[in-house]
Amino acid sequence: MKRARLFLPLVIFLTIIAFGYAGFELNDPHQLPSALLNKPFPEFSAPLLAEPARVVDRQSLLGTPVLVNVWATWCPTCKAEHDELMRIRRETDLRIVGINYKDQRAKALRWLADYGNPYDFVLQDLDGGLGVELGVYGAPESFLLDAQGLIVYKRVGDINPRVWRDELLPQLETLEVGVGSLSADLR
Amino acid sequence: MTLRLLLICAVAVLLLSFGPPARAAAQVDIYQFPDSQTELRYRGLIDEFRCPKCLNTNLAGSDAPIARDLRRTVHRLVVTEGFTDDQVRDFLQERYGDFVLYSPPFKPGTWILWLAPLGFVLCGAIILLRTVRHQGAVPLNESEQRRIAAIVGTADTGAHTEDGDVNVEDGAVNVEDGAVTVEDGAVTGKDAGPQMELDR
Repeated sequence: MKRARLFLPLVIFLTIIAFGYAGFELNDPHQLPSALLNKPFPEFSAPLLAEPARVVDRQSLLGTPVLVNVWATWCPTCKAEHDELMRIRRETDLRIVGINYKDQRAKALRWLADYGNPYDFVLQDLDGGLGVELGVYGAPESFLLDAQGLIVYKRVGDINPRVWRDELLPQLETLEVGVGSLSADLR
Repeated sequence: MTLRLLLICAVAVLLLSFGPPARAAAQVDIYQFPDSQTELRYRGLIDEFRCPKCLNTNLAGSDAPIARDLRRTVHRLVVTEGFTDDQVRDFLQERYGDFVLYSPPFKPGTWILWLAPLGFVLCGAIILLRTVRHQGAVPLNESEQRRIAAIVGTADTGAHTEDGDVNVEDGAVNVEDGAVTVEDGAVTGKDAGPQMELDR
């Protein structure tokens, strides 16, 4: 009994080590769980990037599932995910709507002309007000909405082939969005 | 003596842990307020929320663009829209989650956060109590043995002092926790009272 007690400090030490090691495996602490998950996309009204005189609201996102992608030209990761968005646009039936977040209109238009435009349309959020409504705290961020405008999935960070395969594709199957044979093969 | 020091340290740590946290303030926005009361409320609120981008800075102390946006939002809610403090809290929590609140609500996901400190204090108290209780039995040194012998009168009374117990045939002397209790006053020492305490 007495002898077993001598090992107590070692046991405590190993427990601390185990917790610390598990900490390495945890998610990036910068990735907050979204408070908006499984809630309806908030009401908003925002001008179109291509045509700022025209203002659209939440109604424009309803009808079919849609991927709402928050991006900006000042955001390097947005450039990194752009190719993947283009591919999704080319190969699947998923509708993509952009939110140009705290950006300059001329630069944003230039970007779309240079790199291609994967978006159905792009909303303009000059001062980040729409971003605050969405709980956005950086770019890129993406929300997947079902046809009724419910947020079924949120991604903080870029959409890349791994995220597409492991996270988006299963969601799209549930939503019954055609993903084409090419994208399905990625599995 | 060391025990008392230990206790003082424990109390000091406890008191310190209840003090207000140190907070930075580095924001430079210029906003208009209708009165100082509203400005105080605004300052209190931006002090209270955590910037979503920067793991441990509040809105007031952060230079991150998102913190600036949220300060502007709080200003709008408080000054233009006339929100109460609780409404502002709900507004931010609905959009950014519990993360923005420095004191998260008590719920299934957070109970360990709230109860763990209490658990640590309890563990400490149990260890402290056990340590104190085990400190009782300390063998007498030579001079103490001599004093005992003097008190009980004769040197060959069959005193067993190794384990701190002194047994005298007529009239028992029990040494426990540093106290010498003499029963029946059957002690022949010169100036020994019926009861005395050993000074250690």
